[in-house]
Order: sequence, then C-alpha cells, then structure tokens
Amino acid sequence: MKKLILMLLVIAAVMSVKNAQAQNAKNNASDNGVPITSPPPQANPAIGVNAVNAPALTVPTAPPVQVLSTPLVAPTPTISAPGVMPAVPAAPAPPPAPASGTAPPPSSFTTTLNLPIVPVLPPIPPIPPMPDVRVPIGSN
Amino acid sequence: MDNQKNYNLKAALLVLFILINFAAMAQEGHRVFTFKPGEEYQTEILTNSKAVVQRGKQTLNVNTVSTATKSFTVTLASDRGFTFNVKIKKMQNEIDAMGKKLYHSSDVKSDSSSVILRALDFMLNKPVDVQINKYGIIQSFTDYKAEMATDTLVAFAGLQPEAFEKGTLLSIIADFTYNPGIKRNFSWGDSVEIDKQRLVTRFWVEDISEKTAIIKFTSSISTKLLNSNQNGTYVIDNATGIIQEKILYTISTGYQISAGGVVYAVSRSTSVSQKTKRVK
Repeated sequence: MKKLILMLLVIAAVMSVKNAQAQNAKNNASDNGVPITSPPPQANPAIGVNAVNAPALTVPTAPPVQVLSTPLVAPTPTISAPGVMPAVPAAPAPPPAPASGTAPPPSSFTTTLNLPIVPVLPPIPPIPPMPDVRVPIGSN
Repeated sequence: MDNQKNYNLKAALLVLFILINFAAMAQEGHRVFTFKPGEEYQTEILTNSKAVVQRGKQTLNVNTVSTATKSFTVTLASDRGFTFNVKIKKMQNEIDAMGKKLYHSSDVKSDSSSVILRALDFMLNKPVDVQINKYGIIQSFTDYKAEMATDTLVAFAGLQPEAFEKGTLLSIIADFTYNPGIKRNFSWGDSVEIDKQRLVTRFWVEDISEKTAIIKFTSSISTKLLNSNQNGTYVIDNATGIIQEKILYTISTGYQISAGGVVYAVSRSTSVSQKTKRVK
C-alpha cells in the first residue's frame, strides 16, 4: 500500500510540474509568453525583381478605416471611443525574393480565373485565453 | 493471486481517476460559452484596400472597397458544444484596377458574361457548418465548396478570408473573462499558426470596465513569400464574450508567383472595420 501511495504521489508531482510549466510559459509547454520579433520597418524597401534597373516597390499608404455607422462604443466614464482606433503599422521588410521559375504554391492561383495575384489578407489573431494568468511581457 | 489482481485493479482505477482530474483542471479558467439553437449573429465587414503588383517597370494598382454581411446561426447546442452555420448573405464590391472599375452587388443580378462577377455571386449563401466545443474552440467544419471562389479572387476583391482552423477560436468570440485584476496596459504575447501562417502577436488592454474590454494588438505575420504587419483593436462584450467590433490595419510586402512561374513584387495596405451583433 505504501508503494501505491508513493507511486501516486510521484505521478501527481510530475503532472503538477507540467501544469505549472504550461501556466508560466516555460520550455515548450506553452504557446504563450513568446517574445515578439519586431523587424525594423523599411519605408522604401528596395525589392526590384530580377531586373537590375527595376524600380523599388512602393508600399501604398494605408487607407483610412471607414466606420460603418455610429461608433459602437459610446463615450462612457471608463471607455472613450477615440481609444478604439489602432495605429497604422510600419511596412514590414519583404522576405528574400524567390528565384525566377519557382513553382507557385498550389493554393495561390487558379486555373479558372486569370486575375493579377495580389496578396491575400492575413488571418486575424484570436485572443489567447486566460490573459490574467499569463506572465506579462517584460516580467520574465 | 486474487489479492494481487484486486490490488492492480484498484491502483489502475486510482491512476485513471487522477488523470481525469488533471484533464478537467487543464480547462479551468476558460470561458464557457452559452448559445441556443436559432440564435443568429450578424457580422458586417467593410474592407478598404490598396494593392500594387510590380514587375520591372510595369506596375498594376488594384484598389478595392468591399462590404460583406455574414451570418453565424446556431443550429445545434449541447453540453459539449455548438454547431454554427456560417455564410455570406450580402456582398458589395468595387474593384478599381488600372482605372477600370468593376461593381458587384448581391442585390443586383450580375452580368453573366463577367467571370469575376459570376465568381463573386458564387460565394454568396455557401454555408459552412462549424462545430465548436463549449470553450469556443473549433473542432471541425464542413468543406467550403469554393470551386470558382478561389484565394486569387478573394484577394483580388479585397475580401477578408474566413479562416476556419481546427483548434482556434471562432472568429466572433473571445476567450476573455472580466477580471478586476486585469488593468489597463496589461500586455501579453502569443504565437499561433493559422492557415499555414505564423502570427506572433502582442496584446494589451487599452481600456476595461465590467461591461466592455478594449484590447489592442500588434502582430507580425511571416510566410515564405509575404511579410505583414497588422495592428488592430477588439471591443469585447464581457457579458457574452462576443467581439462586438474589430478594427484592423494591415500592410504586407513580398512576392507572388504566377501559374507560369513569373515572380512579381507586391504590396498591400488594408483597413478593415467589422461589427458583430445578435439579430435573433
């Protein structure tokens, strides 16, 4: 019976350590607490494609956000509508140019529609759960 | 011998009980959502986009303004989770490519000679059934019968693709529960892969009350051909966990490869305003 109790205590201890690691963003046991990489923005990235004299790609200015109707969050003692607007991000540096003749990714083109291939809008990040138990950035 | 068997059985049952207990504890702290069959949430999305495609000295500008109305209808509810029926109900698109303008409205019968208009029409009322668990996490979904509605068209028309990714939250909800301990400027990071794209995001609480939370984020998304920076704001109804409003700015730069293997330099700036409300 003592052996059984000892075995159970060891299992419980191992599980607790794993759980604690998950909550504290340690090792590979968590998807949170990931340091944020911030690539230096380039205002005028020189990314001409396979032509020495190709002009640099111009990053168009972000258009203003059009609000559908009255702001949903009306000014209240605790929440003010102007605080809702995000800042316009800096243009990211482009990845290395692919070699000419590289095969396109299978999902990036269609054989039924011959359209110029413009960038697909990236996905929107979902809010990860339980921010109150996550380690605030800068404190670990 | 019988004693030994009983001993082993008891030990196995105890271990099983402990494992079940730990599995249950692992879900503690997640928001548990409550939806009822027949409830319908409607999302209005306004997207404003400017894209540049460039090769050598040739440059193509594609500017788009699109509005889309999506419905999220609860068709099944149980203790374990819910099934949502998601579809685009209405859509309006204005595409300006090199000065030539194309208009599309789901309210108006399209010119059948235009492949683009027919493809945009095809996207309407194509339901996807999405199963989520009680924590809002996507468990499965039916295939979107895309056919004509391809990535290329979605991108060209400036529409935000609805990415259903198993293991991520349904897009209209947030696993966020009001806690007086969460103060303004509290920030945290996250890294997640959606649609084969790695999103590294920093979130922070811009403002919070018992009723509403305003969470801002800045995100960098890297793929083999395209890098994007994205800033945004979520307005969350703390009572229901519904994201009432999303506002986003995205700037992308990189390359695209045509079917023939020709490489183009591309960039795109986009603003998205999205509002969700319960209509039934």
